[in-house]
Amino acid sequence: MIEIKNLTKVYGSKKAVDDISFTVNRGEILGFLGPNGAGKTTTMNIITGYIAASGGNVTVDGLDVVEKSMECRRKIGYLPEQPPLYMDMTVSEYLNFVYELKGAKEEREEHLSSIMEMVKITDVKDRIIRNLSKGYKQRVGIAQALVGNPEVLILDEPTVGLDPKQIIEIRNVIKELGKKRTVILSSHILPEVSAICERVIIINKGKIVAIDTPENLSKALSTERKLIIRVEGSEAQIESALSKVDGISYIESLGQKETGTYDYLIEANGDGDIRKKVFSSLALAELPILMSKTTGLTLEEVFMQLTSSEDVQAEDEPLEVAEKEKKSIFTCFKRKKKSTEEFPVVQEGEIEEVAETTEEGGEEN
Amino acid sequence: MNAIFKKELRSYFSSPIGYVFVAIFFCVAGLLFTVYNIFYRMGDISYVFSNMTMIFLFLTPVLTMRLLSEDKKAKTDQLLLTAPVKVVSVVLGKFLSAVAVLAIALATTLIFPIILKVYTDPAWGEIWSNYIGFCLLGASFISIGLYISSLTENQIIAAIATFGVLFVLYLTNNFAVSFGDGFINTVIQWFSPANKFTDFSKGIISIESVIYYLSIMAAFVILTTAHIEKRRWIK
Repeated sequence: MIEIKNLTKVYGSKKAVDDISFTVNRGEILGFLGPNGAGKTTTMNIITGYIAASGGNVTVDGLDVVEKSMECRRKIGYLPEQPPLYMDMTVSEYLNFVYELKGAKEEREEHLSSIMEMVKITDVKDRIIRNLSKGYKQRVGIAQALVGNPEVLILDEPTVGLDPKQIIEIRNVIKELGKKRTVILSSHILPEVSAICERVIIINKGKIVAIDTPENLSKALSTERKLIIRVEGSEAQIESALSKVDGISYIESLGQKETGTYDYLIEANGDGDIRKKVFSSLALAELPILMSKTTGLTLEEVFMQLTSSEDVQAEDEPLEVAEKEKKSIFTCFKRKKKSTEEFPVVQEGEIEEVAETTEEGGEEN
Repeated sequence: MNAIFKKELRSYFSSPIGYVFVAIFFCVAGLLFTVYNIFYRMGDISYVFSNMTMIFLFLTPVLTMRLLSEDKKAKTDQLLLTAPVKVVSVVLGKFLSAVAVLAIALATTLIFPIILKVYTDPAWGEIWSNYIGFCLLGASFISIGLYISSLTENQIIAAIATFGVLFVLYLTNNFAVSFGDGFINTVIQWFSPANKFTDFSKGIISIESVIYYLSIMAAFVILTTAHIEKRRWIK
Protein backbone atom coordinates (compact mmCIF):
# COMPACT_ATOMS: atom_id res chain seq x y z
CA MET A 1 0.00 0.00 0.00
CA ILE A 2 2.68 2.48 1.04
CA GLU A 3 6.22 1.95 -0.03
CA ILE A 4 9.07 4.05 1.27
CA LYS A 5 12.41 3.72 -0.42
CA ASN A 6 15.70 5.21 0.74
CA LEU A 7 13.97 8.22 2.17
CA THR A 8 16.31 10.98 3.28
CA LYS A 9 15.62 14.46 4.60
CA VAL A 10 18.41 16.87 5.33
CA TYR A 11 18.02 20.09 7.31
CA GLY A 12 21.15 22.09 6.80
CA SER A 13 23.87 19.76 7.97
CA LYS A 14 21.57 17.58 10.06
CA LYS A 15 20.03 14.44 8.64
CA ALA A 16 16.53 14.24 10.13
CA VAL A 17 15.71 11.08 8.21
CA ASP A 18 18.59 8.98 7.01
CA ASP A 19 17.97 6.52 4.20
CA ILE A 20 15.00 4.63 5.60
CA SER A 21 12.96 2.08 3.67
CA PHE A 22 9.88 0.16 4.65
CA THR A 23 6.51 -0.91 3.33
CA VAL A 24 3.10 -0.72 4.92
CA ASN A 25 0.63 -3.39 3.89
CA ARG A 26 -3.00 -2.72 3.16
CA GLY A 27 -5.19 -2.85 6.23
CA GLU A 28 -2.31 -2.82 8.65
CA ILE A 29 -1.86 -0.69 11.75
CA LEU A 30 1.75 0.31 11.87
CA GLY A 31 3.31 1.96 14.89
CA PHE A 32 6.09 4.43 14.45
CA LEU A 33 8.09 4.67 17.58
CA GLY A 34 11.01 6.80 18.59
CA PRO A 35 12.21 9.45 21.01
CA ASN A 36 11.57 13.11 20.30
CA GLY A 37 13.47 14.32 17.28
CA ALA A 38 13.93 10.83 15.87
CA GLY A 39 12.37 11.76 12.55
CA LYS A 40 8.83 10.43 13.00
CA THR A 41 7.05 13.65 12.16
CA THR A 42 9.39 14.41 9.28
CA THR A 43 8.69 11.01 7.72
CA MET A 44 4.95 11.49 8.12
CA ASN A 45 5.12 14.97 6.66
CA ILE A 46 6.89 13.58 3.63
CA ILE A 47 4.36 10.76 3.13
CA THR A 48 1.50 13.25 3.25
CA GLY A 49 3.25 15.61 0.85
CA TYR A 50 3.50 18.48 3.33
CA ILE A 51 7.24 18.66 2.85
CA ALA A 52 9.45 17.26 0.14
CA ALA A 53 12.15 14.67 0.68
CA SER A 54 15.79 15.39 -0.01
CA GLY A 55 16.22 11.92 -1.46
CA GLY A 56 14.39 8.66 -2.03
CA ASN A 57 10.73 8.29 -2.83
CA VAL A 58 7.38 7.39 -1.37
CA THR A 59 4.61 5.65 -3.28
CA VAL A 60 1.03 5.15 -2.19
CA ASP A 61 -0.76 2.43 -4.14
CA GLY A 62 2.02 2.62 -6.68
CA LEU A 63 1.61 6.37 -7.15
CA ASP A 64 4.54 8.64 -6.37
CA VAL A 65 3.56 11.25 -3.76
CA VAL A 66 5.40 14.03 -5.57
CA GLU A 67 4.45 13.28 -9.17
CA LYS A 68 0.86 12.18 -8.51
CA SER A 69 0.41 14.30 -5.42
CA MET A 70 -3.30 15.07 -5.85
CA GLU A 71 -4.29 11.41 -6.24
CA CYS A 72 -2.14 10.44 -3.28
CA ARG A 73 -3.49 13.17 -1.04
CA ARG A 74 -7.02 12.02 -1.76
CA LYS A 75 -6.09 8.61 -0.37
CA ILE A 76 -4.52 9.96 2.79
CA GLY A 77 -6.08 11.44 5.90
CA TYR A 78 -3.55 13.22 8.07
CA LEU A 79 -3.65 14.29 11.69
CA PRO A 80 -0.52 16.35 12.31
CA GLU A 81 1.09 16.67 15.71
CA GLN A 82 -0.85 19.85 16.32
CA PRO A 83 -4.38 19.40 14.95
CA PRO A 84 -4.90 21.92 12.15
CA LEU A 85 -8.03 23.54 13.54
CA TYR A 86 -9.53 26.93 12.84
CA MET A 87 -10.25 28.15 16.32
CA ASP A 88 -12.95 30.62 15.33
CA MET A 89 -15.20 28.04 13.66
CA THR A 90 -17.68 25.67 15.20
CA VAL A 91 -16.98 21.97 14.91
CA SER A 92 -19.59 21.40 12.24
CA GLU A 93 -18.55 24.50 10.27
CA TYR A 94 -15.00 23.25 10.37
CA LEU A 95 -15.88 19.75 9.21
CA ASN A 96 -18.02 21.17 6.45
CA PHE A 97 -15.09 23.30 5.37
CA VAL A 98 -12.79 20.27 5.33
CA TYR A 99 -15.43 18.35 3.39
CA GLU A 100 -15.50 21.04 0.72
CA LEU A 101 -11.75 21.51 0.77
CA LYS A 102 -11.13 17.84 0.14
CA GLY A 103 -13.86 17.74 -2.45
CA ALA A 104 -15.37 14.66 -0.79
CA LYS A 105 -17.93 12.73 -2.79
CA GLU A 106 -19.85 11.11 0.06
CA GLU A 107 -23.31 12.30 0.98
CA ARG A 108 -22.46 15.26 3.18
CA GLU A 109 -24.90 15.13 6.11
CA GLU A 110 -24.65 11.39 6.51
CA HIS A 111 -20.88 11.25 6.11
CA LEU A 112 -20.11 14.05 8.58
CA SER A 113 -22.57 12.88 11.18
CA SER A 114 -21.24 9.32 11.04
CA ILE A 115 -17.72 10.65 11.56
CA MET A 116 -18.83 12.82 14.47
CA GLU A 117 -20.59 9.82 15.94
CA MET A 118 -17.51 7.68 15.58
CA VAL A 119 -15.18 10.04 17.43
CA LYS A 120 -17.97 11.13 19.78
CA ILE A 121 -18.11 14.84 19.08
CA THR A 122 -21.77 15.03 18.08
CA ASP A 123 -22.68 16.80 21.32
CA VAL A 124 -20.16 19.60 20.77
CA LYS A 125 -20.78 20.13 17.07
CA ASP A 126 -22.17 23.64 17.51
CA ARG A 127 -19.45 24.85 19.82
CA ILE A 128 -16.58 27.09 18.82
CA ILE A 129 -13.42 25.00 18.57
CA ARG A 130 -11.42 27.49 20.64
CA ASN A 131 -13.58 26.71 23.67
CA LEU A 132 -13.22 22.95 23.47
CA SER A 133 -10.95 21.00 25.77
CA LYS A 134 -7.73 19.56 24.44
CA GLY A 135 -9.22 16.10 24.19
CA TYR A 136 -12.13 17.28 22.11
CA LYS A 137 -9.82 19.31 19.89
CA GLN A 138 -7.79 16.18 19.29
CA ARG A 139 -10.94 14.31 18.33
CA VAL A 140 -11.98 17.02 15.93
CA GLY A 141 -8.50 16.62 14.48
CA ILE A 142 -9.11 12.91 13.98
CA ALA A 143 -12.55 13.62 12.53
CA GLN A 144 -10.92 15.98 10.05
CA ALA A 145 -8.56 13.23 8.91
CA LEU A 146 -11.52 10.90 8.35
CA VAL A 147 -13.43 13.24 6.06
CA GLY A 148 -13.54 11.85 2.55
CA ASN A 149 -13.05 8.26 3.72
CA PRO A 150 -9.32 8.03 2.98
CA GLU A 151 -7.84 4.56 2.64
CA VAL A 152 -4.78 5.54 4.62
CA LEU A 153 -4.76 7.33 7.95
CA ILE A 154 -1.62 8.94 9.22
CA LEU A 155 -1.84 9.99 12.83
CA ASP A 156 0.99 11.86 14.50
CA GLU A 157 0.84 11.25 18.23
CA PRO A 158 -2.93 11.00 18.32
CA THR A 159 -3.29 10.56 22.07
CA VAL A 160 -0.89 13.18 23.30
CA GLY A 161 -2.33 15.44 25.97
CA LEU A 162 -5.47 13.42 26.55
CA ASP A 163 -6.71 12.16 29.87
CA PRO A 164 -6.51 8.42 30.55
CA LYS A 165 -10.15 7.77 29.76
CA GLN A 166 -9.88 9.64 26.49
CA ILE A 167 -6.68 7.82 25.61
CA ILE A 168 -8.46 4.49 25.92
CA GLU A 169 -11.39 5.78 23.88
CA ILE A 170 -9.20 7.16 21.12
CA ARG A 171 -7.24 3.91 21.01
CA ASN A 172 -10.44 2.01 20.52
CA VAL A 173 -11.47 4.41 17.79
CA ILE A 174 -8.14 3.87 16.05
CA LYS A 175 -8.44 0.10 16.37
CA GLU A 176 -11.91 0.30 14.92
CA LEU A 177 -10.67 2.46 12.05
CA GLY A 178 -7.78 0.11 11.45
CA LYS A 179 -10.15 -2.70 10.58
CA LYS A 180 -10.95 -1.13 7.24
CA ARG A 181 -8.02 1.15 6.65
CA THR A 182 -4.28 1.29 6.64
CA VAL A 183 -3.11 3.25 9.65
CA ILE A 184 0.31 4.63 10.45
CA LEU A 185 0.56 6.12 13.89
CA SER A 186 3.48 7.62 15.67
CA SER A 187 3.97 7.66 19.36
CA HIS A 188 6.56 7.77 22.02
CA ILE A 189 4.23 5.96 24.37
CA LEU A 190 5.15 2.32 24.23
CA PRO A 191 2.12 0.64 25.79
CA GLU A 192 0.01 2.46 23.28
CA VAL A 193 1.89 1.04 20.36
CA SER A 194 1.86 -2.46 21.78
CA ALA A 195 -1.86 -2.14 22.47
CA ILE A 196 -2.90 -0.97 19.03
CA CYS A 197 -0.32 -1.85 16.44
CA GLU A 198 0.26 -5.03 14.52
CA ARG A 199 3.77 -4.01 13.56
CA VAL A 200 6.20 -1.56 15.04
CA ILE A 201 8.99 0.42 13.49
CA ILE A 202 11.45 1.80 15.97
CA ILE A 203 13.32 4.77 14.64
CA ASN A 204 16.15 6.67 16.24
CA LYS A 205 18.18 9.57 14.92
CA GLY A 206 16.58 9.21 11.51
CA LYS A 207 17.41 5.51 11.15
CA ILE A 208 15.27 2.43 11.53
CA VAL A 209 16.57 0.29 14.37
CA ALA A 210 13.90 -2.42 14.35
CA ILE A 211 10.79 -3.53 12.49
CA ASP A 212 8.69 -6.33 13.95
CA THR A 213 5.54 -7.15 15.86
CA PRO A 214 5.50 -5.86 19.44
CA GLU A 215 5.53 -9.45 20.78
CA ASN A 216 8.47 -10.52 18.68
CA LEU A 217 10.41 -7.45 19.61
CA SER A 218 10.11 -8.12 23.30
CA LYS A 219 10.69 -11.85 22.80
CA ALA A 220 13.74 -11.47 20.64
CA LEU A 221 15.53 -9.28 23.08
CA SER A 222 14.38 -10.97 26.20
CA THR A 223 17.32 -13.05 27.39
CA GLU A 224 16.40 -13.22 31.01
CA ARG A 225 13.42 -13.98 33.13
CA LYS A 226 12.38 -11.52 35.74
CA LEU A 227 10.14 -12.01 38.71
CA ILE A 228 8.71 -9.44 41.03
CA ILE A 229 7.61 -10.66 44.44
CA ARG A 230 6.17 -9.11 47.58
CA VAL A 231 7.10 -10.87 50.77
CA GLU A 232 6.07 -10.29 54.35
CA GLY A 233 9.01 -10.17 56.73
CA SER A 234 12.16 -8.23 57.39
CA GLU A 235 14.64 -7.37 54.70
CA ALA A 236 17.42 -9.40 56.23
CA GLN A 237 15.26 -12.52 56.51
CA ILE A 238 14.00 -12.30 52.98
CA GLU A 239 17.41 -11.68 51.52
CA SER A 240 18.97 -14.56 53.32
CA ALA A 241 16.15 -16.86 52.20
CA LEU A 242 16.52 -15.72 48.61
CA SER A 243 20.25 -16.13 48.65
CA LYS A 244 19.71 -19.84 49.28
CA VAL A 245 17.89 -20.27 45.99
CA ASP A 246 20.20 -21.22 43.15
CA GLY A 247 19.65 -20.01 39.66
CA ILE A 248 19.19 -16.38 40.69
CA SER A 249 21.57 -13.99 39.02
CA TYR A 250 20.34 -10.70 40.38
CA ILE A 251 18.30 -9.49 43.32
CA GLU A 252 17.18 -5.97 43.86
CA SER A 253 15.04 -4.54 46.60
CA LEU A 254 12.27 -2.34 45.34
CA GLY A 255 11.52 -1.07 48.85
CA GLN A 256 8.56 -1.20 51.13
CA LYS A 257 5.20 -0.89 49.41
CA GLU A 258 2.97 -2.20 52.18
CA THR A 259 3.84 -2.04 55.84
CA GLY A 260 5.72 -5.11 56.94
CA THR A 261 6.43 -6.26 53.39
CA TYR A 262 9.24 -5.81 50.89
CA ASP A 263 9.23 -6.02 47.13
CA TYR A 264 12.04 -7.67 45.23
CA LEU A 265 13.03 -7.95 41.63
CA ILE A 266 14.67 -11.26 40.88
CA GLU A 267 16.37 -12.25 37.67
CA ALA A 268 17.02 -15.88 36.84
CA ASN A 269 20.01 -16.92 34.84
CA GLY A 270 19.19 -19.20 31.98
CA ASP A 271 15.71 -20.33 31.10
CA GLY A 272 14.90 -22.23 34.29
CA ASP A 273 11.67 -21.48 36.12
CA ILE A 274 12.67 -20.17 39.52
CA ARG A 275 9.19 -19.56 40.88
CA LYS A 276 8.87 -22.89 42.61
CA LYS A 277 12.32 -22.64 44.14
CA VAL A 278 11.66 -19.15 45.40
CA PHE A 279 8.34 -20.23 46.84
CA SER A 280 9.70 -23.23 48.70
CA SER A 281 12.71 -21.34 49.99
CA LEU A 282 10.58 -18.51 51.39
CA ALA A 283 7.97 -20.92 52.71
CA LEU A 284 10.67 -22.78 54.53
CA ALA A 285 11.71 -19.55 56.20
CA GLU A 286 8.03 -18.86 56.99
CA LEU A 287 7.98 -15.74 54.88
CA PRO A 288 4.61 -15.57 53.07
CA ILE A 289 4.66 -14.42 49.44
CA LEU A 290 1.82 -11.95 49.02
CA MET A 291 2.31 -11.30 45.36
CA SER A 292 4.38 -12.70 42.55
CA LYS A 293 4.50 -11.83 38.90
CA THR A 294 6.79 -12.60 36.05
CA THR A 295 7.83 -9.91 33.72
CA GLY A 296 9.27 -10.41 30.28
CA LEU A 297 11.30 -7.68 28.72
CA THR A 298 8.79 -4.89 28.25
CA LEU A 299 8.66 -2.92 25.08
CA GLU A 300 10.07 -0.04 27.08
CA GLU A 301 13.23 -1.95 27.76
CA VAL A 302 13.46 -3.09 24.18
CA PHE A 303 13.08 0.47 23.13
CA MET A 304 15.75 1.67 25.51
CA GLN A 305 18.14 -1.04 24.39
CA LEU A 306 17.59 -0.30 20.75
CA THR A 307 17.67 3.45 20.91
CA SER A 308 20.54 3.85 23.31
CA SER A 309 22.89 1.15 22.07
CA GLU A 310 24.42 3.49 19.52
CA ASP A 311 25.02 6.13 22.12
CA VAL A 312 26.81 3.62 24.26
CA GLN A 313 29.31 2.93 21.54
CA ALA A 314 29.62 6.54 20.64
CA GLU A 315 30.28 7.86 24.10
CA ASP A 316 32.30 4.91 25.28
CA GLU A 317 30.73 4.95 28.72
CA PRO A 318 28.79 1.73 28.74
CA LEU A 319 28.73 1.27 32.47
CA GLU A 320 27.26 4.59 33.35
CA VAL A 321 24.68 4.37 30.64
CA ALA A 322 23.69 0.89 31.70
CA GLU A 323 23.28 2.16 35.24
CA LYS A 324 21.04 4.95 34.15
CA GLU A 325 19.00 2.64 31.98
CA LYS A 326 18.42 0.23 34.77
CA LYS A 327 17.41 2.98 37.11
CA SER A 328 14.84 4.39 34.75
CA ILE A 329 13.45 0.96 34.04
CA PHE A 330 13.03 0.31 37.70
CA THR A 331 11.23 3.55 38.29
CA CYS A 332 8.93 2.35 35.55
CA PHE A 333 8.13 -0.80 37.39
CA LYS A 334 7.53 0.93 40.64
CA ARG A 335 5.22 3.47 39.21
CA LYS A 336 3.30 1.02 37.16
CA LYS A 337 2.74 -1.25 40.06
CA LYS A 338 1.66 1.50 42.33
CA SER A 339 -0.83 2.67 39.80
CA THR A 340 -2.34 -0.76 39.25
CA GLU A 341 -2.98 -1.10 42.93
CA GLU A 342 -4.21 2.28 43.89
CA PHE A 343 -5.74 3.89 40.86
CA PRO A 344 -6.56 1.25 38.33
CA VAL A 345 -8.15 3.78 36.00
CA VAL A 346 -5.23 6.18 35.99
CA GLN A 347 -2.86 3.52 34.83
CA GLU A 348 -2.63 4.79 31.28
CA GLY A 349 -1.64 8.27 32.32
CA GLU A 350 0.97 6.90 34.64
CA ILE A 351 2.40 4.90 31.83
CA GLU A 352 2.62 7.97 29.73
CA GLU A 353 4.66 9.65 32.41
CA VAL A 354 6.83 6.61 32.62
CA ALA A 355 7.46 6.71 28.93
CA GLU A 356 8.56 10.28 29.32
CA THR A 357 11.00 9.51 32.08
CA THR A 358 12.48 6.73 30.01
CA GLU A 359 12.81 9.09 27.17
CA GLU A 360 14.55 11.70 29.24
CA GLY A 361 16.99 9.05 30.27
CA GLY A 362 17.61 8.33 26.61
CA GLU A 363 18.31 11.93 25.84
CA GLU A 364 20.72 12.38 28.66
CA ASN A 365 22.75 9.57 27.28
CA MET B 1 -10.72 27.41 -4.08
CA ASN B 2 -14.40 27.80 -3.43
CA ALA B 3 -14.12 26.28 0.05
CA ILE B 4 -11.20 28.53 0.98
CA PHE B 5 -12.94 31.60 -0.41
CA LYS B 6 -16.10 30.94 1.59
CA LYS B 7 -14.20 30.11 4.74
CA GLU B 8 -12.02 33.23 4.56
CA LEU B 9 -14.93 35.49 3.80
CA ARG B 10 -16.80 34.07 6.75
CA SER B 11 -13.82 34.51 9.03
CA TYR B 12 -13.57 38.19 8.03
CA PHE B 13 -17.10 38.67 9.26
CA SER B 14 -17.03 36.32 12.23
CA SER B 15 -14.23 38.46 13.65
CA PRO B 16 -14.30 42.26 13.96
CA ILE B 17 -11.81 42.72 11.11
CA GLY B 18 -14.33 42.71 8.29
CA TYR B 19 -16.70 45.08 10.07
CA VAL B 20 -13.92 47.44 11.16
CA PHE B 21 -12.58 47.55 7.62
CA VAL B 22 -15.95 48.25 6.01
CA ALA B 23 -16.88 50.77 8.70
CA ILE B 24 -13.66 52.77 8.49
CA PHE B 25 -13.75 52.66 4.70
CA PHE B 26 -17.31 53.92 4.64
CA CYS B 27 -16.68 56.58 7.32
CA VAL B 28 -13.65 58.08 5.62
CA ALA B 29 -15.26 57.94 2.19
CA GLY B 30 -18.38 59.52 3.67
CA LEU B 31 -16.31 62.28 5.25
CA LEU B 32 -14.55 63.03 1.98
CA PHE B 33 -17.85 62.93 0.11
CA THR B 34 -19.42 65.33 2.59
CA VAL B 35 -16.52 67.77 2.33
CA TYR B 36 -15.90 67.70 -1.43
CA ASN B 37 -19.30 66.99 -2.87
CA ILE B 38 -21.77 68.34 -0.37
CA PHE B 39 -19.97 71.35 1.16
CA TYR B 40 -18.27 72.41 -2.08
CA ARG B 41 -21.31 71.42 -4.11
CA MET B 42 -19.39 69.44 -6.69
CA GLY B 43 -20.84 66.68 -8.82
CA ASP B 44 -17.43 65.10 -9.42
CA ILE B 45 -16.82 61.99 -7.31
CA SER B 46 -13.19 61.50 -8.38
CA TYR B 47 -11.84 63.62 -5.50
CA VAL B 48 -13.26 61.14 -3.04
CA PHE B 49 -11.59 58.18 -4.73
CA SER B 50 -8.25 59.87 -5.35
CA ASN B 51 -8.03 60.60 -1.63
CA MET B 52 -9.28 57.13 -0.75
CA THR B 53 -6.27 55.58 -2.52
CA MET B 54 -4.12 57.16 0.20
CA ILE B 55 -6.41 55.86 2.94
CA PHE B 56 -6.32 52.43 1.36
CA LEU B 57 -2.58 52.23 2.07
CA PHE B 58 -3.50 52.00 5.74
CA LEU B 59 -6.44 49.68 5.25
CA THR B 60 -4.84 47.05 3.01
CA PRO B 61 -2.69 45.58 5.81
CA VAL B 62 -5.84 45.13 7.91
CA LEU B 63 -7.24 42.87 5.22
CA THR B 64 -4.13 40.97 4.27
CA MET B 65 -1.96 40.63 7.37
CA ARG B 66 -3.50 37.40 8.63
CA LEU B 67 -4.31 35.75 5.30
CA LEU B 68 -1.35 33.38 5.16
CA SER B 69 0.66 34.23 8.26
CA GLU B 70 -2.07 32.93 10.54
CA ASP B 71 -2.16 29.55 8.82
CA LYS B 72 1.57 29.26 9.17
CA LYS B 73 1.49 30.10 12.84
CA ALA B 74 -1.52 27.93 13.78
CA LYS B 75 -0.12 25.11 11.62
CA THR B 76 -3.40 24.96 9.74
CA ASP B 77 -1.33 25.14 6.58
CA GLN B 78 -0.74 21.43 7.19
CA LEU B 79 -4.38 20.85 6.41
CA LEU B 80 -4.39 23.10 3.36
CA LEU B 81 -1.15 21.77 1.91
CA THR B 82 -1.96 18.09 2.42
CA ALA B 83 -5.50 18.38 1.07
CA PRO B 84 -6.04 17.48 -2.57
CA VAL B 85 -6.03 21.11 -3.73
CA LYS B 86 -3.39 23.02 -5.63
CA VAL B 87 -1.50 25.70 -3.73
CA VAL B 88 -2.47 28.25 -6.34
CA SER B 89 -6.16 27.71 -5.65
CA VAL B 90 -5.57 28.14 -1.92
CA VAL B 91 -3.80 31.42 -2.62
CA LEU B 92 -6.45 32.55 -5.10
CA GLY B 93 -9.25 31.70 -2.67
CA LYS B 94 -7.63 33.86 -0.02
CA PHE B 95 -6.88 36.67 -2.45
CA LEU B 96 -10.42 36.74 -3.79
CA SER B 97 -11.93 36.74 -0.31
CA ALA B 98 -9.98 39.90 0.57
CA VAL B 99 -11.03 41.44 -2.74
CA ALA B 100 -14.62 40.52 -1.91
CA VAL B 101 -14.40 42.46 1.37
CA LEU B 102 -13.07 45.44 -0.57
CA ALA B 103 -15.98 45.06 -2.98
CA ILE B 104 -18.43 45.04 -0.09
CA ALA B 105 -16.83 48.21 1.30
CA LEU B 106 -17.01 49.82 -2.13
CA ALA B 107 -20.63 48.77 -2.47
CA THR B 108 -21.54 50.76 0.63
CA THR B 109 -20.26 53.89 -1.10
CA LEU B 110 -22.71 53.38 -3.98
CA ILE B 111 -24.99 55.60 -2.00
CA PHE B 112 -22.87 58.61 -3.07
CA PRO B 113 -23.84 58.50 -6.75
CA ILE B 114 -27.44 58.09 -5.68
CA ILE B 115 -27.21 61.24 -3.54
CA LEU B 116 -25.54 63.05 -6.43
CA LYS B 117 -28.35 61.94 -8.74
CA VAL B 118 -30.85 63.66 -6.49
CA TYR B 119 -29.20 67.09 -6.86
CA THR B 120 -27.51 66.94 -10.21
CA ASP B 121 -26.99 64.93 -13.32
CA PRO B 122 -23.70 63.18 -12.55
CA ALA B 123 -21.22 62.00 -15.18
CA TRP B 124 -21.95 58.27 -14.91
CA GLY B 125 -19.06 57.20 -17.08
CA GLU B 126 -16.61 58.93 -14.84
CA ILE B 127 -18.20 57.46 -11.71
CA TRP B 128 -17.99 53.89 -13.01
CA SER B 129 -14.43 54.31 -14.22
CA ASN B 130 -13.56 55.55 -10.72
CA TYR B 131 -15.12 52.45 -9.21
CA ILE B 132 -13.41 50.10 -11.65
CA GLY B 133 -10.08 51.84 -11.16
CA PHE B 134 -10.36 51.68 -7.39
CA CYS B 135 -11.20 47.98 -7.51
CA LEU B 136 -8.16 47.28 -9.65
CA LEU B 137 -5.83 49.42 -7.54
CA GLY B 138 -7.21 47.91 -4.32
CA ALA B 139 -6.90 44.35 -5.60
CA SER B 140 -3.32 44.90 -6.67
CA PHE B 141 -2.49 46.34 -3.25
CA ILE B 142 -4.13 43.30 -1.70
CA SER B 143 -2.04 40.96 -3.84
CA ILE B 144 1.10 42.65 -2.53
CA GLY B 145 -0.16 42.34 1.05
CA LEU B 146 -0.99 38.70 0.43
CA TYR B 147 2.54 37.99 -0.71
CA ILE B 148 4.06 39.73 2.30
CA SER B 149 1.78 37.80 4.63
CA SER B 150 3.11 34.55 3.18
CA LEU B 151 6.65 35.55 4.13
CA THR B 152 6.16 35.72 7.86
CA GLU B 153 4.12 34.07 10.56
CA ASN B 154 3.83 37.30 12.52
CA GLN B 155 0.77 39.33 11.63
CA ILE B 156 2.20 42.59 12.96
CA ILE B 157 5.32 42.28 10.84
CA ALA B 158 3.16 41.45 7.83
CA ALA B 159 1.00 44.52 8.46
CA ILE B 160 3.87 46.96 8.94
CA ALA B 161 5.88 45.58 6.01
CA THR B 162 2.82 45.75 3.76
CA PHE B 163 2.21 49.34 4.73
CA GLY B 164 5.87 50.23 4.17
CA VAL B 165 6.01 48.64 0.73
CA LEU B 166 2.73 50.18 -0.40
CA PHE B 167 3.73 53.59 0.94
CA VAL B 168 7.00 53.58 -0.99
CA LEU B 169 5.18 52.38 -4.11
CA TYR B 170 2.63 55.11 -3.69
CA LEU B 171 5.30 57.78 -3.43
CA THR B 172 7.27 56.62 -6.48
CA ASN B 173 5.98 59.66 -8.34
CA ASN B 174 7.69 61.97 -5.92
CA PHE B 175 10.96 60.04 -6.12
CA ALA B 176 10.83 60.07 -9.90
CA VAL B 177 10.88 63.87 -9.94
CA SER B 178 14.27 63.95 -8.27
CA PHE B 179 15.78 62.05 -11.23
CA GLY B 180 15.04 64.94 -13.56
CA ASP B 181 13.33 64.51 -16.89
CA GLY B 182 15.31 61.56 -18.14
CA PHE B 183 14.70 57.92 -18.94
CA ILE B 184 14.74 56.83 -15.28
CA ASN B 185 11.99 59.27 -14.48
CA THR B 186 9.83 57.87 -17.26
CA VAL B 187 10.36 54.28 -16.13
CA ILE B 188 9.61 55.00 -12.49
CA GLN B 189 6.58 57.05 -13.41
CA TRP B 190 5.32 54.16 -15.51
CA PHE B 191 5.52 51.78 -12.55
CA SER B 192 3.70 54.09 -10.16
CA PRO B 193 0.31 52.59 -9.24
CA ALA B 194 -1.00 56.03 -8.24
CA ASN B 195 -0.22 57.44 -11.67
CA LYS B 196 -2.12 54.68 -13.37
CA PHE B 197 -5.12 55.57 -11.27
CA THR B 198 -5.29 59.17 -12.49
CA ASP B 199 -6.57 57.92 -15.87
CA PHE B 200 -9.48 56.22 -14.17
CA SER B 201 -10.31 59.27 -12.08
CA LYS B 202 -10.54 61.30 -15.30
CA GLY B 203 -12.99 58.78 -16.65
CA ILE B 204 -10.54 57.02 -18.96
CA ILE B 205 -10.36 53.25 -18.85
CA SER B 206 -7.12 52.58 -20.66
CA ILE B 207 -6.18 49.04 -21.55
CA GLU B 208 -2.61 49.76 -20.50
CA SER B 209 -3.66 50.60 -16.93
CA VAL B 210 -6.01 47.64 -16.67
CA ILE B 211 -3.28 45.28 -17.85
CA TYR B 212 -0.82 46.96 -15.50
CA TYR B 213 -2.99 46.27 -12.44
CA LEU B 214 -3.91 42.77 -13.57
CA SER B 215 -0.26 41.91 -14.09
CA ILE B 216 0.63 43.11 -10.58
CA MET B 217 -2.08 40.83 -9.19
CA ALA B 218 -0.96 37.87 -11.30
CA ALA B 219 2.68 38.44 -10.44
CA PHE B 220 2.10 38.51 -6.71
CA VAL B 221 -0.32 35.59 -6.68
CA ILE B 222 2.29 33.57 -8.57
CA LEU B 223 5.06 34.76 -6.24
CA THR B 224 3.00 33.78 -3.21
CA THR B 225 2.29 30.34 -4.66
CA ALA B 226 5.93 29.87 -5.53
CA HIS B 227 6.98 30.92 -2.06
CA ILE B 228 4.65 28.42 -0.40
CA GLU B 229 5.75 25.67 -2.77
CA LYS B 230 9.35 26.52 -2.00
CA ARG B 231 8.71 26.11 1.72
CA ARG B 232 7.97 22.43 1.10
CA TRP B 233 11.54 21.99 -0.04
CA ILE B 234 13.38 24.01 2.55
CA LYS B 235 11.25 23.09 5.51
